[in-house]
Amino acid sequence: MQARETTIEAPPVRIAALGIDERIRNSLRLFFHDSCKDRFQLVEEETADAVIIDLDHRKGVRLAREQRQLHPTTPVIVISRDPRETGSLISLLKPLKKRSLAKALLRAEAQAKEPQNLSSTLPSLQIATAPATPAEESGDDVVMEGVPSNSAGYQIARHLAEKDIQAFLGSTPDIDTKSAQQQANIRYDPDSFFQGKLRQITAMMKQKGQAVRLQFSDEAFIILYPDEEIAQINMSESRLGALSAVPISPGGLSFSFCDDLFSPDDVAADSLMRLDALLWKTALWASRGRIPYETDLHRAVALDRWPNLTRLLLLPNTLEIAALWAEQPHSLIETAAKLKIPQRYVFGFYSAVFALGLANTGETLKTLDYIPIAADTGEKQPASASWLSNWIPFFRSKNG
Amino acid sequence: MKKDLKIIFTGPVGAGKTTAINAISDTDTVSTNESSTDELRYRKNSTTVAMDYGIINMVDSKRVHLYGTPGQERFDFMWDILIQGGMGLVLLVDNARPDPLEDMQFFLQRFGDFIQRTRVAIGVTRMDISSTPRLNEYQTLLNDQARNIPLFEVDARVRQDVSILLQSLLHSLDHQKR
Repeated sequence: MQARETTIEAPPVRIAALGIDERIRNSLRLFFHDSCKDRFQLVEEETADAVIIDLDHRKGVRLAREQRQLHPTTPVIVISRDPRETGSLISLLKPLKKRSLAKALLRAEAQAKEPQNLSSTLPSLQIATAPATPAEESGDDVVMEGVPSNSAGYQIARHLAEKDIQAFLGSTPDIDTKSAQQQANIRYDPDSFFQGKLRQITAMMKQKGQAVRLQFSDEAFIILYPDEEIAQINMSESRLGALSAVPISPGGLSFSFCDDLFSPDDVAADSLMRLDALLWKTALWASRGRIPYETDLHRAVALDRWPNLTRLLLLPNTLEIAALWAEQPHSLIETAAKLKIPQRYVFGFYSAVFALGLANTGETLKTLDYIPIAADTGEKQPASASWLSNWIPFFRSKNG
Repeated sequence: MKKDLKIIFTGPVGAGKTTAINAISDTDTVSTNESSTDELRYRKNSTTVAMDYGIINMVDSKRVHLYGTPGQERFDFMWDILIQGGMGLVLLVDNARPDPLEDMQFFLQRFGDFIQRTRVAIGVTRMDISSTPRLNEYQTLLNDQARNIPLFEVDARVRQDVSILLQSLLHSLDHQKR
């Protein structure tokens, strides 16, 4: 039986509210939920796609300036009692009206999707302290409820989300397990990719207890630190992805051990990545929804332990697969059928946990009472399980 | 039939139960706090004496009710009351406390019967303040448990972290052997 595709919904646009008290924040939450159908989500500043700043707050102007300096491509909506000259920032007057706020949010969303346009059109921030002439508000109604799922913004967001997922999970359709050719097509050799080299070098590093420097062409490098179990990465995300996605020729990677005093203390935090997160990500890039050569598609898999999923790249259905394998071992094929998800999602997750050494196809199964299930997904669940199953998609869509 | 979910948040004082419920609740959380006693004041200014309560609203008027237990053992008379009707347990452990591994063991034991009937997910908080013990040390202790328990590093202020922790609990409940 072929598994059906899971619908990929556009993720909510994450909005941070700066200089805004808790009462107003709660009102925003309510507005995002009720009027915007959760298209927007209130978050902390660090993870925001766009921010709203109250210029009447005593730190409002400073917050806006800092925001523009630190995050020049992040769209900013400023609200104030009196009209002010705010350059290209999206400006709203108090009291806020649903329509104008909705329009401002949609503008911010569009800017967040195309940050290069935003940065190229934004001059340095000039916020006048004196009131200026208010900008004329368009009288067009903005109805967030029922924003059509085929709107341009939605389509773009969905396209980007699918592209992101495709980079890690590929696009291979479900296979017929009776076809040797199709089985061969979903296999890869981790050791011939950066993933495998990284695993080997990491093992050597831990044995020796010394940091390792991997040198690439020009100034790109990665340093692995054994005690802290982190990596310092001096290359762009896209380059790391490209490095991980294609096989590395023998001898195509040079590395050297650093001296004992080498430590990551003085390294900028944004260039550091946890070692498990690096191994996880490089495995996903290499796998692209495939599985290591030696994997038996019909052998039950259990998780030795849960990966630290709050600090790893989460892909569709990751939590469901992890929970299933933690509770009841299932083969890869059974897992996709039981969860009704594309096989490549299961294959990608397996490859990632395999890279971290957490996939168990042997010992643990002795204690986990493995009972093979039929591939038919129409099995009748106990009432309570079906009821809970109905809950989880709602929860996931609400909370990411 | 409308049926709501009840999830319990527990853990020692200062582990972030109130913060976590605040981070994920759709409504203003109800918190019954009082000023901390001297021995706790260095850690936080107020502490929960009865409970925290928050709600996640779902579609079709369904709701997830989030109950936080008081962290101090002198209020543990509330715990058994609070967990009645609960579907699962979120245990938050403060990594910056003197013996967080012992804390985890204490709460797993204290709620042992409840966990046996339901499921638990564990979040280790404040790892930015104290990076040790590492997660693998928690995992080593958990190896003695009958089940494979979700264990993550969590920042209780970050909705996404709390959400992942909660989802892992719900999925574990969904797939538990019966």
